[in-house]
Amino acid sequence: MSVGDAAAIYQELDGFFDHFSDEFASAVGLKPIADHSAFWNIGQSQVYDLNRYAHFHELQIPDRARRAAYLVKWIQRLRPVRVEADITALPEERGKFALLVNEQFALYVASGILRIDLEQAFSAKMLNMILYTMRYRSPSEDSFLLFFVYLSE
Amino acid sequence: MDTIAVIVLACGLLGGFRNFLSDYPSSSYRCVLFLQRLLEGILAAAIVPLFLSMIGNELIPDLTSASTSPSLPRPYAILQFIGFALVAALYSRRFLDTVSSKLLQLEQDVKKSEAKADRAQEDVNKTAHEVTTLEDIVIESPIPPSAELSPSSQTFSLAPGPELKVLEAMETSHIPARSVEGLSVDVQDGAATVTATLSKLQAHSLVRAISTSRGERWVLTELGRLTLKSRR
Repeated sequence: MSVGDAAAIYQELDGFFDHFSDEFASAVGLKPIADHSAFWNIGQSQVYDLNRYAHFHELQIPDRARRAAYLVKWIQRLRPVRVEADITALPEERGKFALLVNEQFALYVASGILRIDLEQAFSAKMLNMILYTMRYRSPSEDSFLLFFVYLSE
Repeated sequence: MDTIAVIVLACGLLGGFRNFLSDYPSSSYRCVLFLQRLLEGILAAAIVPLFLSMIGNELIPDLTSASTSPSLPRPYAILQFIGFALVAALYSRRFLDTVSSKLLQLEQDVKKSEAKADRAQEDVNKTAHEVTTLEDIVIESPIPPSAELSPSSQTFSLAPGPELKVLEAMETSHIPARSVEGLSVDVQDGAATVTATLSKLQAHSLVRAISTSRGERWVLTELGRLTLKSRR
């Protein structure tokens, strides 16, 4: 993938979402819905980030860790996935999955980009902490970058 | 009833008069004080039946012949009631204070008991709802006939062990679909053991496998969740 290809990122996200939504629907019984304009916006924002990075470091192809970190950042901010259900009416255990659907999608995408299944790599406790941090704190892309670089090595 | 009224009146007057004499005033309010002491004596004696019912004494039914099997013969019951009424009239002020404070405390206890009963009722309703849900799931879950007939599927008890660890790991996770490898990290056990445990749990419809783009994943079923809940 070239650095400045927003359409390719859009396609990639859409592909990830297809698999993610199937998995989520099978597991939770709720079908997530994608906001494709948000996917496009994520693609554009990712391109700006990668261009800036490539220009500054004089690199042509940013590594997987950085691509994953930027994507996680933009998914967190632009929240392209939603579940059309009244979370207050759902049982608690299904509600928590629905509430964290964007964070889970972000981890799913990161897993795909890094080619490391994060769910297999970490304990539930650790994953819960990551999901919580993504939703309620403001981790920067640099935090994710460090984390993903560490995982990739 | 008449006997009780006569005893109350007589003992009240006697006790009140005795109290009047014990703090005999020299002032001009002697008449007022006399009436006050008599009234206190009568009131205290009149409260004795209430006091007796508060402490669960059966003396009043024995006296009124309301009880079919009196614990005391009537003459003894009368003497005992006279004793109570006299003591109450002699110590009328203290007795009235004690009974009134006991009554207030009793009222508070009743309120607390009612609140406890309400909470207990809510718990019962909640449990009943869970049981109904569990029954619905057991009825509606697509368990093959062979599994339905299997005695082990009906009598699965969740004792501390690998099954419980795996179920708890699945429940605490915010990721809905878990892999064998991920669960292995959680329960700190080998993948082979976790796979065997998951198969066992699947046979009891506590977990189910789903096929995903990332391979096979495991999901906790509603029955598994309720089984975990019921264990707590």
